[in-house]
Amino acid sequence: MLNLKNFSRVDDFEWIIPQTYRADMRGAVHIFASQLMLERGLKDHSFEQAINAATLPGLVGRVAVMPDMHQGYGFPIGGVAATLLPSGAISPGAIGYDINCGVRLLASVIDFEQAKPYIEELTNQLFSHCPSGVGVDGFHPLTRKDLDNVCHEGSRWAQKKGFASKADLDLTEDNGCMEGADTRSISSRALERGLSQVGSLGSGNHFIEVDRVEKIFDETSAKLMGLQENCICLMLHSGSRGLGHQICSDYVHAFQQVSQKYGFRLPDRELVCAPLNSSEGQAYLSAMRCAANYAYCNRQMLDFAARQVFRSVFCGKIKNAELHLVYDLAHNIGKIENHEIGEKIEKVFVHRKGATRAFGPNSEGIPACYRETGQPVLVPGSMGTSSWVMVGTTLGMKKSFGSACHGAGRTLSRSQAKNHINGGQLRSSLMKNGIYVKTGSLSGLAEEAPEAYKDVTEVVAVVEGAGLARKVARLIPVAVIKG
Amino acid sequence: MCAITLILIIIIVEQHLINGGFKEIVHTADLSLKVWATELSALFTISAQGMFSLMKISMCKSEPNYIEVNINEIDLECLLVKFLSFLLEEIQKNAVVYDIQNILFAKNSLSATLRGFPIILVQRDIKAVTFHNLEVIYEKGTYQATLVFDI
Repeated sequence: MLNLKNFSRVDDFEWIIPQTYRADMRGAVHIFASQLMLERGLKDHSFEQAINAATLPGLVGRVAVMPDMHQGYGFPIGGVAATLLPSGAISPGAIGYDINCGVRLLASVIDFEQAKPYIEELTNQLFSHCPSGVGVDGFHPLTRKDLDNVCHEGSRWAQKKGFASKADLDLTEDNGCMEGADTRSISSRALERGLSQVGSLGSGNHFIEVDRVEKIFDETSAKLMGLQENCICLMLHSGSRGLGHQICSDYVHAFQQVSQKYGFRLPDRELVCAPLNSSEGQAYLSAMRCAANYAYCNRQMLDFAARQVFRSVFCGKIKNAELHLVYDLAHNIGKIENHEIGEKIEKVFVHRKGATRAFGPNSEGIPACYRETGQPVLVPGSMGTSSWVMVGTTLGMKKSFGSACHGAGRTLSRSQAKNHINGGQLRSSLMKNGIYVKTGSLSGLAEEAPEAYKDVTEVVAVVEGAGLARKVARLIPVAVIKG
Repeated sequence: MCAITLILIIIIVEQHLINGGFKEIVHTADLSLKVWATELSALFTISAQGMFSLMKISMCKSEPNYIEVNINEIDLECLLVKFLSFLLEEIQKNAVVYDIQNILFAKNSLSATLRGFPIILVQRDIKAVTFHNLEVIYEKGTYQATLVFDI
């Protein structure tokens, strides 16, 4: 049984479980946390899952665990692991079911005080025009041909159809499209599920939030992002919907045999994998990229709907009611990247599950406008607290494969949350604090209560303390839309 | 049109608890069930009922639709995940929830007769049935498994 004695302390924000802890580990586990977070983390299976992740065939360097970590299945949420190309493992379970679940932030120059009288109407309109909830379809059903194009082109498809601008694509991770996607790697069932859901939020922890920029910590970066104190912005959190879930299910199932074929012995069947250069590994990679592109397009479509709502609500009331994209990023994804391993730069496959890419200044693949500051890192909090905008650092490139946290991280299970919290009372309490809430499910709202999450401010402090990312701005919610 | 009567899945669950049962296990982010039964067929049936219970499905009691399902897999765990994934797919794709009438097992394969009812409401989405630490164990006359569902 793992206990505090098994961790060696690097400093106040970093702890190590050495490779010698278990014979099948191929690297050490580095946990970015305060001592209190570490002690709390021992209460669930986060660390056991991180140790299991360290057994992935072809693992290089370390497994990095972010401070918002919590127990997942197979791989911990908040986990990052890289395998060496060409034959290192690719594991669908280490990326997760909601492939390219991610966050998008749009900023405005609308002053909160001016917008305040219209926030309720804005909330209702966003709820009406951005479909959310269990199994709810999107606002733009696709033909089979369009679905193929969405999977292959991502947000470029949205641009061709008039739902996106070039600037939107420039400010989306991968420019909104991962090359190498191929719908021939996807089951007919996955495609079928994708037909109706583009332009939908989903349920669970997915949300749209209207925030007020409460405090700016880094003027230069905030200016580049167009974030101004006391102006409102919009954050949305969604992913690849049923199409992504089906792809992950299909491949985790198929890889049960594939792992045996390649002689991989893994401590958890959810971690099944294939060599990246095998036909099976390549098939999953191209399927995963289809889901990633679907998710980029999905968030782009929701962005389009949200901008229309802003125009319609503020028309004739506020002069410049336009939203502009700050950044769109993935936090459940696998990518081929170059990283320093030992003294060499190696091409590796990075699995990020519940972890955000946080590339530092001058890194490849970040938008030109953020080249000097590092890429934006979007950290949504729990709906009653705060959300954060950070930027990636050079040190983070070395410590965590250029990764940071993806949110606050759960502490209570959904059942525990519902036992403690009443959805109706929570909504009233949030309303009293000036946060309008529109939800299709009060019990779903209770599951996502702020009390069910860690203190996002502590999480962000650890990320900054460890040098993985720097604070740029704190956002305070004024409206929340949940499925 | 189906009859107006709504029946919560929990009623069906209670009818089958004689042979075993299920219990929700605390999981930080997702949902987990411990399932046990004296017969393998009951383990599969109760696993399905447990999953339906977590989803809080309301269905419409109308003329049922009967189907036969045959699944072949490499082992019992794959068989269980595949069977539950099929039931989940039917909920998502066709809005039908199945009551398991009969299951027969041969080596790593099953044949099941299912009775389907139209769904009126699903209150909680389950995205996938995972393999996380999944092992079907037979010990002292009882089959057991712990399932984790991605939500």
